[in-house]
Amino acid sequence: MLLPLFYYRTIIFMSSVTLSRIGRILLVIFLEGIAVLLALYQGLSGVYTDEAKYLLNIPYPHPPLARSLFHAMEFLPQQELLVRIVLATLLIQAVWLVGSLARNLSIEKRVTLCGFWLFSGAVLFQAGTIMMAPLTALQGLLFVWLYFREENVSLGWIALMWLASLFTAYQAILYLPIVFVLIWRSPESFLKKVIAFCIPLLLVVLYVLTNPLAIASFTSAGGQNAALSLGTIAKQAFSSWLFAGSAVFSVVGTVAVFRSKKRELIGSFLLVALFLCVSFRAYYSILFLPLFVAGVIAHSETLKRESLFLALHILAAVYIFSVASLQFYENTARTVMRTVNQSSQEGVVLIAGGFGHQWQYESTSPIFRYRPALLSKAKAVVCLEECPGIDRYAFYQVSNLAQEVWIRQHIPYTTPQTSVRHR
Amino acid sequence: MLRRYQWWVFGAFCLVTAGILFLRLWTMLPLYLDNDLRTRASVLIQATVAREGWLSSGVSLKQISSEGAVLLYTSHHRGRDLVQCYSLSFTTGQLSSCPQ
Repeated sequence: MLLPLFYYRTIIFMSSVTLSRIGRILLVIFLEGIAVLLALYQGLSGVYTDEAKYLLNIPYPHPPLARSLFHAMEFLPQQELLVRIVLATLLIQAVWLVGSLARNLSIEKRVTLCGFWLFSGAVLFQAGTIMMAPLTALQGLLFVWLYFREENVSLGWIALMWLASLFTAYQAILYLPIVFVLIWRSPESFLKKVIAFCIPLLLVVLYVLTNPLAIASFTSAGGQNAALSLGTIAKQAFSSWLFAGSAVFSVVGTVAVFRSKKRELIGSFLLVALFLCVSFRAYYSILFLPLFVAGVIAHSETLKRESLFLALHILAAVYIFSVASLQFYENTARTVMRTVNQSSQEGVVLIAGGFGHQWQYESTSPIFRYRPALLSKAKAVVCLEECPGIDRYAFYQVSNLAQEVWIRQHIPYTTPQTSVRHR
Repeated sequence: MLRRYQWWVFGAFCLVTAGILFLRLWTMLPLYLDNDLRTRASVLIQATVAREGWLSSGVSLKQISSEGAVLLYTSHHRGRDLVQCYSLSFTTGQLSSCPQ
């Protein structure tokens, strides 16, 4: 109970004074501290399969822009942590963009909107994850910022940003109505507007056509949801929407979006909601956030009792945090591969059974699916399911691991040791 | 200054991206034009992936014709990825390393 009260008092105190330069610097440092903490928390359990896919630049399903940038840092031993901190920083420090958007609102409303952003479930739980959804949400926020700017923005730069967003992740298309209005209201010629809007879309379609794996991923993701009942789909999408803005911001943001009567905002909101129904993933909930911000800016009257809303919002965020199943232990892939990587033997690692890309990320050797014919090339075998035929080769089983792991012997085996078990 | 170059930068990015994508599309064109080839290629590549213990995400198509395909297999892992080139015959189903 004391924590939200402390935050609330801090925010209200901040709102009562005009921030001096030193105050701003201190606030940036404070926010950066939060970003680093969230990144460290996300890194505790190791990388997830999607995160590994982006860090290793495995070419599906998303286009290559962001993942190739992540992969460019692979030479760094702390690549994962660095990317986590960069992404968490972008998401947390984006609050300045939210503040800038709300510059015409009263100081109380401005601080409330910033608090809404920082204490949203999606920000708290997705800052520091190496996923494309937070990046797409940030790009969405940038489009919203440009949308509310009074001065005209150069159409060429908007087009370039549109292209970059689409080549970061396909989900940028959900903000298409906002981008359309942004481009269409530009004073440039009709032809330039068509080029700015359509060429990036055509290029991303061309990219999909040249990547059969991307098409296969879409079909698979859509197919997974097709098997669910309508009630389950609606429940998933609803809880995701509720979680996105820690309930309070979700309700306030959505009401504001519809009360604003701006078709582009309502259109984007409906597209995100529909996308969640068709292709549900919990991490897509963050895509709602820029639209909630846009709604409040477009219809600020919705924020009538801002201090009460913010206090409730912080309480809801604390509640979500308290009931969430936090993970403080590293995943099996990291534990197992740490042992396997210590082996000085040359060769590949074979894995039997289904496994995610995190196994590839944790390995310093090529990974192949287990086939008895490949045992002669293997330096280690991880058996997530049965490994037939392994006992015919000179491998020893590592004990004290959650998984059955076999490592090729260095020297001809003589006597059993206490730390190893032989079959 | 920045305003002046906006369309040049956008145009350059679009041209480079389109160039790369059209080259890839040209490589894969036989797959789009020939339904029979598409089916045969899909079955044979999947069988090869299963036999060799490869991960589908590491396979990319370098060249394809009615006789066979040239595949690149990338073993993604920490450190320098291992990229190997193979020719896959559609008549025999045999996989052989690309000539150096």
